[in-house]
Formats: sequence, C-alpha cells, structure tokens
Amino acid sequence: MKSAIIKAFAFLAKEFHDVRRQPRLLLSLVGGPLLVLAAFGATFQTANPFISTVLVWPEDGVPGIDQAQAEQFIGRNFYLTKVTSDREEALAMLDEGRVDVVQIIPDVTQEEAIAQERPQIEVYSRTVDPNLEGWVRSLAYGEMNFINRQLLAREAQVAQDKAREIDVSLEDAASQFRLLQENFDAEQIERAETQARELRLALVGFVDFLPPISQAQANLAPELTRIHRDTEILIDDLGEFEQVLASGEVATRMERLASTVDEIEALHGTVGEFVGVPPENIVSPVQETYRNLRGTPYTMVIFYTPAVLALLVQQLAITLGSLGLVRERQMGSYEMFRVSPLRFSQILLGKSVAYVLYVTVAGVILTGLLALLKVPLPVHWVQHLVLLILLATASTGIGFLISALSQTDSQAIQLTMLLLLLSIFFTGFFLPLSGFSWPAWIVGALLPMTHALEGFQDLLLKGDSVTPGIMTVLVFISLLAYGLVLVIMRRQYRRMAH
Amino acid sequence: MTTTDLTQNGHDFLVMQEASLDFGGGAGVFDLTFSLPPGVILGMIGPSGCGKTTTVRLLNGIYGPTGGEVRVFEKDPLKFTNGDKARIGYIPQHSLLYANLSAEENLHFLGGMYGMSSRERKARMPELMEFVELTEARKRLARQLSGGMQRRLMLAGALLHEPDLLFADEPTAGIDPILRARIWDNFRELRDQGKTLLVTTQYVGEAAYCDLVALMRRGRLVTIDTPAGLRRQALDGEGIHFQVDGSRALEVMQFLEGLPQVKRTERVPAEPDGILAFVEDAGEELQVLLATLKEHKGITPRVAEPYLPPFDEVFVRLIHRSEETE
Repeated sequence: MKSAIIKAFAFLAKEFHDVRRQPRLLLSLVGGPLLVLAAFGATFQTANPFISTVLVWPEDGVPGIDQAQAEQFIGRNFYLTKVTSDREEALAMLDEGRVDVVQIIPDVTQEEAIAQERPQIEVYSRTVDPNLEGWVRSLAYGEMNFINRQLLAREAQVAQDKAREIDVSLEDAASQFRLLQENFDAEQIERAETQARELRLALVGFVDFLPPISQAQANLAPELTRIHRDTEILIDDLGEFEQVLASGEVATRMERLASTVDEIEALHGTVGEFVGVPPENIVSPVQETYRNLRGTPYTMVIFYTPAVLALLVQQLAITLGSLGLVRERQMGSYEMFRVSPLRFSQILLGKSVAYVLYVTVAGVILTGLLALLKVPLPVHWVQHLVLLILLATASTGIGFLISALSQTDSQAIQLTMLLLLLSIFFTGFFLPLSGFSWPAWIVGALLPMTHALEGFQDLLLKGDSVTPGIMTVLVFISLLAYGLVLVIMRRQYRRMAH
Repeated sequence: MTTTDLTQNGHDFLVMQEASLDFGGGAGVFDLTFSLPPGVILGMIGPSGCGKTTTVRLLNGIYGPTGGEVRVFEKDPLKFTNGDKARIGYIPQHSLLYANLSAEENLHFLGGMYGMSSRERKARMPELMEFVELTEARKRLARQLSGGMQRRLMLAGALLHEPDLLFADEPTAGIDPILRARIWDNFRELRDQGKTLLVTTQYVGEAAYCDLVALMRRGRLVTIDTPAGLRRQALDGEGIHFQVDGSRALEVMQFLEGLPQVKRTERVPAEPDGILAFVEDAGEELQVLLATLKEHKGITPRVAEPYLPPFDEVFVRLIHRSEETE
C-alpha cells in the first residue's frame, strides 16, 4: 500500500514540478479565464440582435396613433434609421443592404379602422439568419398588437363620446315615459311613441360605434360587454313598447311602460360605468404585473458567469488530461512505465490528483477574483469546493479518455476543441437544452459542465445549496470516464506485448 | 572466463531459446538463442534496425515472442511480478527525462516509480550522482544538460533502485568518444560490483569493453562470443603481422603458406611490405615462424607481432562471412 502511494505520488510530484516551472501556464490557469470574463463584462451590451429598420409611415398619419409614440415604441426593439412615407425608397434601402428590415404601416382611415377591415402591417427583410427572422417576426407581432391597441382605444373613445350623447337621450325618454305614467292621455301617448322611436333609432346607430365583441378580442373590458347587452335589450324592448302602446290594453301598456323605464334606467347606469372607464382599459383590460421573488435580476455578465466558470474549469481539466497521457506516449515513457513495477491505475491516480489539485486551486482563485466583477461569492464554500473538485475530476477523466484515444497531441487538441463546441451547444450554456431533441440531452448529460453549470448557478446566483443529484451525476461521469480509460489503456498495454 | 563458461552457466540470468518476434515483412528478430550468466557485460552490436532494441524489449517484457522462449530470472518476462521488475534497470534508446524537472527531480521521479521512499532516494542519490559525475549539475534542469549528461543521468536513474540486471539500449549513441569511454567505465565498474549488463550499441569498437559480444544482422544473431573469440572467428585463428623488404614480400608469403602451421596469408592493404599470416595460436607460433624464416630464407622481418585487428574489421569479416553463408 505504501509503495503504491509512493508510486502515485511520484507522478503527482512530477506534474507539480513540471507545471510550476511554467509560469506562463500558471498565469493562464487563473489570469486567462479572468481576463476572458472581464472582457465579456466590459463589452457585453445586449443579448438582443441589432436590427436596423426603416419605418414607412402614412403621410396622413394613422388615426389615434401619434407618430412620435410609434417611433418610440419601434425604437425599443429596432435601430430606427429612417422614417419615410416613400415605400419604394424604403424597399430600395433594404435591397441595397443598408437596413435589415422595412416596416410599412398601412394608410388606414378612421372609418376603416372602425369598420375592422384589417389592414396589413407589412414587414420585409432579406435575412438568411433564422434567429434574426424569428426576432423580426416576434417584434412585428408586438408592433401589430401595439397599433391594434391604439386603434381600439381610439375607437373606444369615440364610442364613449357617443355614449354620453345617448345618455342625454335616455334621460329625455325616461322623463317622457314618467310623464305618461302620470297622465296617460292621447297627447302624452303620442309624444312617448315619438320619443321611443327616436331613442330606438339612436341606439341602433350607437351600437355601430361600439367596438365589436368577438372571440378574437375576448380581452375586452366587461363594461363594453354590458353596454352591448343592455343596449340590445333596450332596442328590442322599445320596439315591443311601441307596438303595445299603439294597440294594447291600458293595464298591459302601463305594465310595459314601467318595464321600459326600468330598462332605460339600467342602460343609463351601464352607460355611466362605460364612460367612466379609460378608453385603453376598455380594449385592453388585463394588465401584467411581474414580481421577481428573488429580488432584482442579475446583469447578463453576472448571469453568465457560473456557466463561464464551469466551462473554463472543464476545459482546463480536459486539456491537462488530454495532453497528460498522450505526451508520455509520444515521449516514449510508456516503455519505461511498462518495465517498472507500476500499475496503470497508479499513473492515472498520480496524474489525476495533480491536475485536479491545480484546476481546483485555479477555480477557487477564479471564484474569489470574480468578486471584482461583482459576482456574488458562494454562500456554501465547502459545497463550492466539492463541486469544483468533482467537475475537475470528471473533466480530467474525459481528458484522459481523449488522451487514450489519441496518438498525437494534435489529435488530442482537436478532440478537446470538439468537446468545447459540444459544451457550448449542448450544456445549456446559451441555448436551453429543452430546445433540442433527446440525442442532444444524452450528450449534455455526459458533459460535466451541464451539471456544474446548474450547481454554480445555485451556489453563486441563488445562494442555494447544490442538489445531491448534481454531485452524484458528476461522480458517475468520473467513474465512467476513468473506467473506460483503464480498459482502453490495459488493452493498449496488452496489444504492445502481443 | 572462456566463452563456454560465459554462455553455458547453469544459473543464467537470461535465456533466449529460438526466440522470434515477427512483425511481418521481414521485420523482427528470428531464432535468437543465447544465455547470459550473472556478473558480465553482454554487448549487442549490429547496424541500425538489426533487431537489438526488439531483443531488449523481448527480454524486459515490453514485447512477447511469437515463437521460441524468453526467460529472465528463470521466468517469462511477460509474467514478471513487481519484485522481478524491481531487479531490472532499463535505459531506453531515447531520453525519457522530463525537460522541466531538475536532474535530482528526475531521479526522484524514477525512484518513486520503483516505490522507493523519499528517504531511500535521498540516501542513494549523492553516491549515484558522484558515480555518474553529475553532482555539480544535480540542480540543473534536464533541458539544460548536454546529451552526454542526460545519458549519464538516465544511467543513474536506472541504477537508483539497485537492480541486478541492467538493460541499456544504445546508451552511448550520439556522444563524443571521451564521454563514451566514461560511460563504459561506469558499466565495467557495475560489472565489477556483480551486476549483469546487456548493452546495445552501434559502435563496434565498444565491443572491446564487453565480456561477451553478440553480433546481430537482419534480426538474426550472427554470433556470440568474447571479444577475443570474435577475433579468432573473424580471422579463422590468430594473425601475425610481418614487415619485410617489399621486393621479397611475395616470396615470404609463398614460403609461409607452405608451412603446415600456417593456414593462409594475406597482404596488408595499403602496406606494401606488410604480410599477415594466420595460425591457430599466434603467441605460440610467432617465434617458430621467425626462426624458420631466418633458417630457410635468411630473412629477419622488421616487424613481427601478433595481429590485433580493430573490431570494425572483425565485424566486417564476420558479416561478410555470414552473407557468404546465406
């Protein structure tokens, strides 16, 4: 046992001396990653793409929409380079590649808007980038909603004005009908008939001004629904009332008169509610309220830091591991190892401890230095240390696996770079894994970074503990990688002898 | 010791019996048969690619034979225990020193590989550094050592764990003659300490330092013998070098060839009055031939001495003979 420890320690000491004599390597272990993060922090502005656009705005404007307001809204998501009313000029700019997107707002009249003729907002681009196209379509959809809301709000305002006018007619009719209740004579009956007819016609005209209620606009305010309903009821009621007044029994007519007065008062109340609601609430009564229960969200730089830390630690360990064995092979050291009383597991153990130690120390220093970028320090340092060790161990194991499969160090470097690409795409670094199909999940699950990233986010950003599942998976990846390395290397040893 | 003593000892450290390792396409080693007792230096000599390194690798268990038998310490090298491996020291053909480690650190690493504790390594190191004359350079990084120093450091590394048997694969390759001689001094000292050494070399002149020399060609063992035995084989006996008056050289040659104890004669290349006469025992026949020449021809040669051809010539003769046999 003592001898086995001495043999493994020989490799540990050798690697230690080898690395400490390379100050540039030492510097790159810690300084390099920190510089990368600092550069990221200093230069990162937004995750949204930069999309330049030309807005084609109708010469006569859009009823209900202020141009400045529209420009401000569009400018939130696009870099608005020009506003013009010349459609051809804008499309020429797109053809020449001077802008990414052209947005053409239709020349819509108030009547068209009210009549719901659904004029089109045209959006053009020439992009080959599917992501950019996704962004443009999503932003155009947002703009369409914005314009629709503005138009509907304008419509609601007009309807409210008409409702105020109708309310006067309602009051006049109600007064006339009460007079009839008091003096039920021919003159009052005639006046009431005229009043009822005029009111009915006014109400029929009023309905046309009300924003329509349809399934697509189900998010309209309840006041609008009620005024629609009560107006329709009163129109029907007034029609019947006119007929009853002309030919019915006195008792029936009086009963009908009382009912109509009630309906008028009901509509009067509804109109009062309708005109009291702000127009924008009528067309868009639901508003979002968002509250982050963890407090203020982090900046993008801080948010990405755990992922960058996981990526750097993983790649550092993989690089050391992948070169660790292949260089010995190229140097011819295997011949010496084969002759000496060494087990391959002792070589692997000695080298692993050295690399894991280096990478972990580099990871701890890096974590401390991240405070300079205002990244929160882990609440649970011990767990952070354990996670770093497990990530370094699993990654070193994968590095050794690359080494075992490579004949030269350039092959090993190529495979390491390939793994870097896999880590960028399939670990949730910047593309969520849920957006991929299942084969990508397997790749992601086998990469230590996928799990470490989650653990570092828990520790650094959320101030939580690491879930035992993350630690367990990293142990499993380590065992799998080291197991495979031992099998492959033993086979290579045997092949050398036979 | 005689050749028979050296190669047929009952306690041979190392035995190869018709051992072959066929890599295909004519490459490899074939039908190697020899044995080596403890306490001797066996030099394996032959041109590059003749199979010296493969033979060493068969003996230390890196390769297994495809035919025949290889036994070291009376065991199959492929089945060596850690204890067996610890009895062997190995200097591979290429330098396996770590450039960023000092001479001392390299030795610590090599000692550690053999399970030596730090205390054991520290106790042994000064003596070894002194032995290979690297005491002054012990703190120097391996990359700052000259080629010769690196080879001597490798030797120290191979001896650190005090092996009984040392395999040194071309330890003197690329080193100047003075350093080569120093390394051979080290080997002979080790031999005198009772260690057994198998040393491969391309420098045929180094055969003189060995107790036994194995000559290899195209993967086969041409012959194995003591250096003196090789000379006898090459010359088909022993030679006597005469220098006579150039005008009578031919007459002397014909006279000597007529004598029963003289096997044949040769002119010495680029020496007009030089004659070589080959006999069974030069020491015994020299005076007899001198007396006969004087008595029958009235000639007293200016030079009459046993002929010790350089090993280059010995090997050329042996190789030519091997080619003729084929």
